[in-house]
Amino acid sequence: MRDKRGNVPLGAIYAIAAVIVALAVGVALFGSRVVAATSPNTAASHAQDLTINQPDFAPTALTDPEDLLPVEELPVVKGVLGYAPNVAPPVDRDFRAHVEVELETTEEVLRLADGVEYRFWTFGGSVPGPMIRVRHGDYVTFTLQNHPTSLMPHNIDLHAVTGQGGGAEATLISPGQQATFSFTALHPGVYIYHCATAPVGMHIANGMYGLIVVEPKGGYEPVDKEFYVVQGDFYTKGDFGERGLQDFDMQRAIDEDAAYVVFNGSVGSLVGENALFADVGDKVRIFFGNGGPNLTSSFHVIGEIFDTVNVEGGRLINHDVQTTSVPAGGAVMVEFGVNVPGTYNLVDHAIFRAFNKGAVGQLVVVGEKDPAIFTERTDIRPYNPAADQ
Amino acid sequence: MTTRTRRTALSLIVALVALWLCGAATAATMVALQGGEVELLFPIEGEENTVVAPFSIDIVPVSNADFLAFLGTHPEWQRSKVPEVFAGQGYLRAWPADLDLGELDPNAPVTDVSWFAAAAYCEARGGRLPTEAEWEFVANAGFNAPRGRDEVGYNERVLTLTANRRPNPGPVGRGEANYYGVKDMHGLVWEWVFDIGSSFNTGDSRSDGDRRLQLVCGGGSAGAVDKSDYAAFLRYAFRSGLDGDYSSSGLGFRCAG
Repeated sequence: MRDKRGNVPLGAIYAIAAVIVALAVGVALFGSRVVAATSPNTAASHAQDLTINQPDFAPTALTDPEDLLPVEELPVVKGVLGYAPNVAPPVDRDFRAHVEVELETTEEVLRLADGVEYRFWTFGGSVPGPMIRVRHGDYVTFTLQNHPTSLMPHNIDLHAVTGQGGGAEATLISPGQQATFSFTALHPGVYIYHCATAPVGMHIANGMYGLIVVEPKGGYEPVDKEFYVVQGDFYTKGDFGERGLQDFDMQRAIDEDAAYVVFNGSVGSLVGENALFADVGDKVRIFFGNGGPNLTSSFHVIGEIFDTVNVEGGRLINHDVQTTSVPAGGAVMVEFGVNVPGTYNLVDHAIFRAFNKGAVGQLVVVGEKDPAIFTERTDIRPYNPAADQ
Repeated sequence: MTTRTRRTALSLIVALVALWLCGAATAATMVALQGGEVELLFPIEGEENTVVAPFSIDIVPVSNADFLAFLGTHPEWQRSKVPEVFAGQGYLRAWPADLDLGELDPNAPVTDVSWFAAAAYCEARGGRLPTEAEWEFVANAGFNAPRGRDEVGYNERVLTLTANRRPNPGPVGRGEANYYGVKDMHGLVWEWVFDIGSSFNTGDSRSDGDRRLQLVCGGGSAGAVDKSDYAAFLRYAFRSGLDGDYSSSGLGFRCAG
């Protein structure tokens, strides 16, 4: 029985030897890179003070004096989370900080649609998980807590993290455990985070994703309204609308045959009394993520044109965009002014998903009409081409 | 403690011991298996398929009543007496007192037990925890065929059983017996195995490490034998994160011999 696995001493010796070799190689490689990138003085003290050393070819390299401060000297700030459709508050700070973030994983039955429930696996008890918002260059100490009533192990892969698994290995925890790791937000942008525990697809399909926003140092331009919306596809045994507590359908997920495609975790989460509101003249910003697990979103707001799109959540800004493509595991930041009142539908313009699978939300804009921009119907009459001849 | 309560406790213990001995004498609590090749989810490259020798295994997980009886004869495993290195804070957390199940169903599987406590229980019975390979050998069996993968709908059925478990498991023995006559392998609780991985040197730590890495992140399923066996992914992922003093309300065990 398992004769190979009986080889404990030899295996252990190999493992220890491998670690020593890996460490030696790592030190050699890392050491030389550090010297190339920064002053020898900084490099020498790096191991102790945790100052950042980056290759100098990074366009967003952290080279300001504050970036060279040792972590111990940074002010400690509690991370404030934002539960969709509310954003986490903008970073009201012009200095680098040590941000402490705590997030809990849970498993709970929640509403997927009217009369339809689903056993969601969540970050923070909601789908999407809460928005995390930090500043470019912040040192983030992240603690993930798996609620004792969970049945599954969970972890988190934050796409804003540079390092092994985006934190996935570091945070893999069983029910009733918590784990902590730290990272520096090396790149500004809008990033997805998600659970990355096997089977990864199932953890994501059950709702384990959200956004982490890394604001550039100057912050984003102030706007009148900010919203937080994340799309996800769901795979239930029953078809769309079939009532009751629905089980996850593995085959359906593998076939990418979504029963539901929704914004913010349920059908109708942004409709009617849950709609988003803005006033005529407002500048609106939407942080829009796509948790997937499978489908790319063709994000569109019916009756609006995005003034700007931070393409794929990065620094490339596109203008005058009708529909922006948001890949699974990706995000975008869109901004637009609202000029005239009305109900503007947020959709995945792969349009059967909107009208048959749930991917519809509403932005209700109230205020003065402006016929110079848009008139409502001014005339209606019968049209009969045959009668004119 | 008054004399009276002491006497009551004593008689309770005697009764439990009797009950336990009685249970141990019932031969039908285990099934004997021939063993054979077992497909682990992540076979170790370059190694041949794992073969398990003949062994026997409990038909159902160990129940609260079973464990209560054990605590009567082995007080060193009672919550107030067990050293913390062998059982963490959550050990038997739902029990109001050392020998009191409170509102717990005596027939439900015992949970909130550490690996050390589970191993001690099996040892006291003259058995041991099943190895991961043995456990998987039994778990991979279908309900009508020795290999579940050969059975239509098996993966789906096991996944549903695994993923939709209740936080408070019901009585043991209600699940359908599998091909070997073993019950509740999937629908009730996670179960301890002898060689749980990272914190133990019972296996080859090199390959344990490799397997653990395969359980997280995007490339996680690359080496898996059956990529659609999601229930197996869940089991292996759960086992990969365990330490010997860990316990949770969803984790129980059964014994092998």
